[in-house]
Amino acid sequence: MREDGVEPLMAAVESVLVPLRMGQGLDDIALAGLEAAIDSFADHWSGERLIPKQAAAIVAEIWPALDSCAALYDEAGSDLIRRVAARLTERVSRCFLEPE
Amino acid sequence: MTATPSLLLPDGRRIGHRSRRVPTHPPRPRERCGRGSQPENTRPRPKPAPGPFSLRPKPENPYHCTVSGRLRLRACPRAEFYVNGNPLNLNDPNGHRPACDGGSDCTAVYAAYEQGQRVAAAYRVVEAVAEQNVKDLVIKLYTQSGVPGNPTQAAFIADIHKCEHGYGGGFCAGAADIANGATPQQAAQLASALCTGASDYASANEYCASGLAIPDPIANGILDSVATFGVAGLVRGGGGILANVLDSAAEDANVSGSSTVFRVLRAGEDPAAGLGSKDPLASYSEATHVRMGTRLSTQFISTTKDINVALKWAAISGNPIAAIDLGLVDSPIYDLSTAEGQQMFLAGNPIAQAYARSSLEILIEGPVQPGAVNPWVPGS
Repeated sequence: MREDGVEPLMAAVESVLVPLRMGQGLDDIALAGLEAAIDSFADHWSGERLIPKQAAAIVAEIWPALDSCAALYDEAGSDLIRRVAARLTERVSRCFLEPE
Repeated sequence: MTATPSLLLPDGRRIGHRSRRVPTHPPRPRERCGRGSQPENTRPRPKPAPGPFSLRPKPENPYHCTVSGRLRLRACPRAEFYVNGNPLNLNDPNGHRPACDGGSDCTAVYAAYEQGQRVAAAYRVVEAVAEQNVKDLVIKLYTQSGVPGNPTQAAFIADIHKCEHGYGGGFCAGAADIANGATPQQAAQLASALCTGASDYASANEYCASGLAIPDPIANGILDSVATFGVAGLVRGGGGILANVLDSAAEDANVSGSSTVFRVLRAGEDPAAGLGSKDPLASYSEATHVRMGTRLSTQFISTTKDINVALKWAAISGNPIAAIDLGLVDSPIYDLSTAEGQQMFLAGNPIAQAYARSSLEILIEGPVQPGAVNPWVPGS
């Protein structure tokens, strides 16, 4: 396994998005795992000016993917998913902070 | 693939040319519907009955069911399906074709004929399963699930024929594994292994006759699920049946593009009018459709190879499922269910790949003709 944190990040993203798109709703445990994976990735690359392209593709996809999945659910479900998307987006932005 | 003789109809269509529906194994003139082991050429021949609809068994005719040369009616129900259940009104001199004098709607007649063939093929599969209780189980399942009026189910079972000599064993193994907690996919793998590994019919029989054959409690459980959930119960509880078929469908989609896929219809979609994309003139990529198809109007129609995926969404939305015969679809088809397809069409989009992989997704670009669509309401 690569040590750049990309694979765990992808696995965590999949564990949230795939069930969501399959109509199974939000998995709180998987969501907590994704937040932890994002944090871990951000920490891993905190001192760097660049991050792997594959990771950038994944984190950039989180918001549109969640937004698309939200359309599959009723109003309450959609609202919840969008709130989660906003929360994750804030976390993702940490990955792109310039080193001080 | 075996080429079969075809019959050119007045309207230009051909009957019997769809070789993928035709079993490729050699004829099995012995042991139809049972374990009669008497060689064909030493059987006592019953005296032919007079009249145009003789019940005299014809060993070369796969629609007849005999045990030791005698017609066996009870174990071969609906043997008249070769005339679509109506031997009085349909002219069927050879047991293969309904009458159409040109004055009636020949298309409907021939469609009914093909449907009858599929159901008959389903019963040929039942005959081929050596274990009597398994055979009885399948017949019961069909009876309870209303297969004669359900072309999708009939087509499923007819497709089992592709498994050649191993299908009996495949059924037993698949159903038993499902009953023991395996997923349909796992059962499919086992069924596939048996299909490809058990090249001789005897080994399949042996497998069926072993302890892996379905014991009555499990069979009853499957029947209960049918009673509770209707066809959906059949699909879930009898996953072994479909596991085999899904495996065949996967092979079809990879090899020849001919298989059945499923789609939960949108509100307002009418399968009788065919299916269309939201925007036939759009030019989105496959990846964009998979990622954001719910938000966008694209040129693609999403389908899945996995009936369970469709069933889940049908349960959520309450909308019916359509079964689409890809062999009858003229529009371009993109198989995103395989690693090769994902690499080819979804490269650089790991999330789209994960979606397609989990849903066994197949995209159709453009319209689907009405003739390729079979509406199917779970539980009906």
